[in-house]
Amino acid sequence: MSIRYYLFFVLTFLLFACDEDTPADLPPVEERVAEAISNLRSELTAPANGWILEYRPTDDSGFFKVLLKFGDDGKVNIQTDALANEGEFFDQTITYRIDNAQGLELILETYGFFHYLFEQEQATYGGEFEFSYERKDGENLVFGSLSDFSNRTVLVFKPANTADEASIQQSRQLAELLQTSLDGSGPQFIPAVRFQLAIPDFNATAYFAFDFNTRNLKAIAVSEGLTEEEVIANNNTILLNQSSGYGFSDGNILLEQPIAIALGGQQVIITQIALSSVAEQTITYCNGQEDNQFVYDASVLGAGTATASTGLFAGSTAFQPLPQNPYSVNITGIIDENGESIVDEITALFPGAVAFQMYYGFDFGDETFNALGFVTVNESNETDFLLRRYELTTNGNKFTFNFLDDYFTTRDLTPEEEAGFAALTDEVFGGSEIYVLDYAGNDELFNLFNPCNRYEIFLLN
Amino acid sequence: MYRILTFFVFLIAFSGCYEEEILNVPVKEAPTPNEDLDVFIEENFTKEFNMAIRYRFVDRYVAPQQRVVPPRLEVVRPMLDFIQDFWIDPYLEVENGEEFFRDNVPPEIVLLGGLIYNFDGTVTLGTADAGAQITFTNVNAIDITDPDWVQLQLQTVYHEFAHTVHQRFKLPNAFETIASTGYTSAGSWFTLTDTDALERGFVSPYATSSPNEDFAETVAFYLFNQDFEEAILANEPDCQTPACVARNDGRELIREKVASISEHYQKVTGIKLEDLRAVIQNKLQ
Repeated sequence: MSIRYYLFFVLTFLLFACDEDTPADLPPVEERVAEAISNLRSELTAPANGWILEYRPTDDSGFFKVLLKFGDDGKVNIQTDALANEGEFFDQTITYRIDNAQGLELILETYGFFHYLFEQEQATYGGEFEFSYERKDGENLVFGSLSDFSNRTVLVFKPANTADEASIQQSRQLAELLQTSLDGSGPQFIPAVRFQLAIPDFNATAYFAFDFNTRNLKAIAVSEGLTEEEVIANNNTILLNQSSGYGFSDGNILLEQPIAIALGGQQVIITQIALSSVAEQTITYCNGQEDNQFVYDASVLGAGTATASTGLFAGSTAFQPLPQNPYSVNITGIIDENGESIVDEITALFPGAVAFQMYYGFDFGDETFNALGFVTVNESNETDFLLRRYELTTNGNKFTFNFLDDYFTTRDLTPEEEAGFAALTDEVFGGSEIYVLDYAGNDELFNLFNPCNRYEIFLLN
Repeated sequence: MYRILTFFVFLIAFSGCYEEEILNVPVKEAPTPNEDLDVFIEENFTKEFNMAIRYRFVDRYVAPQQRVVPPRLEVVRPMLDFIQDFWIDPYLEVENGEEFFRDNVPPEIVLLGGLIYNFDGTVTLGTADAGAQITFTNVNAIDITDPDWVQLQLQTVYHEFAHTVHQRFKLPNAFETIASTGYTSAGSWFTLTDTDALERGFVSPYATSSPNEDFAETVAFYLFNQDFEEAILANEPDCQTPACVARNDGRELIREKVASISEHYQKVTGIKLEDLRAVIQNKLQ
């Protein structure tokens, strides 16, 4: 091939390559980016009623209803049904910005609802407040999370209608109705609502724990019977340990994952719970002491009317005997009635104490070992185990400890240490049955709550 | 020949079409003025001290592996008042302080709403960038009646601003020799306790990380700590145990450092550090 033919083909390629998709008057990139920003701003500010969003921060979380109204002034009004911070995020106006970096980005510049979720669990929860603009999908705008490194959250902004604002207000009222129950008696350090959902048509009670922040719930167990006395007498309980995200819609609690309850040949699949009125009652967890309880009129889709009562009792708990390991916690995990750790009291008795352990059904050769106490590390880095044996009686999640004057220790205790140890265990566990409480969204964390003295022990599996 | 020709042709082909194009040019929107707050900042910080106040989130304020949120709009003004009262005003009130402050003020102050969470599970309380930027964290928790919050903010800013002195005027003569054996190897300062640091002649474990940090920490502790004299400088009486003797030996080194720093400040900035401490302590009452 001669050089002339070669040049002919190359020049032909050049002529077509340069001109085909490139108008001669293509504006500079800065202008085009500015135009793209302006276009997105116009899109965001266009809907008369703003944008409605069902926001799921993570794959496992429930959903929040969010109404966003963007203004030309760089501010966005955000209405949500989120309960946190005493309603701070019900209706809030913050500033926003549209940037161009890897593409168009929507940045919520000052603190609000999205930032609150971002901060949860030391900013590991999976919320986001910086979004990449992905595309327009019909009337919707699709954004992606800029802070998720995997399983990127996708947010679909849909044009809101006139009813959406009222719908959010309705969800907010239901959320506030639920929030009421947080004032009930129970642990203060990590407050959580626990419901006993009694369904007469099935003669069964299902036990739930709710996490308001992450919109997760856990179905702990289901028992035959409608009252605590009936449940204990019937002694027919199935541990469920099923979790689901949830959200509010049309006055109902909607479960993202159906909870299937099968008991005595009957099955209920719970997908939707409606709550209406609430009444405050008294309940006795500890002799001579009255606590409060909230009782809701409820109905379960497909299962008829029900009663949802807040309370500490559950027919069972995922806190089960552990043959291979103890339950344990750093010694700061023992909390007094004021929400303060009793670490000073513990280290005054056992200097170098680093952890609290509870051996429950531990397989110790020929013995099933039940004991609890402390792990200490001295200045020579030597570890000792100082444990007191106990006998246990359980009724659902109510544990009655009978401490024995029988110690398992890897060093000798002085008489003063032994007396102090006995006094400390009596102080923490004394006066009452201990309620073992499960948490929604965390299968490894438990709370041993003493309703008489309000002491709490967090234990991890 | 064909290969050379081909190379040039393709060079032209791939560079000729979009002569002025640059991909991914960052274009940031000009911030929308936030009425009174932005006017207040413009008048009282930007024009007054040539200091930009950043309260709207921009991700470059933290490293890519760090996670943090911006402040609430409503805490920005109270935080600025706090900065004015406890950092700027004390310098304006002492002799030669205003000139030093205006000449050395960092051009950018960043306000962050929460603490900075790092991917390794640690938390960063405050940062600064070579005299160009000082970052206040946990601004959303503003509570000037909370001693822990006040300590976090003021020790951060006093510490970071003290760096400008050694960056511009060097450390005091032979400062690094005063407790030369006490400095820790890189990245190991956090293994020390406060008492370990004191025995080595340092006001905090972090001070042992380098002479520059030692200088800045000592200044910050001296300015902020109400009981600095009693707890850190003054010897424990009736010292009978080796541990007590070690602590008092450390205090002797700290006294030497404070004297050296005070003399250095007076010499290079004209500021009497004792006067600055007195003004700050008066405000903290």
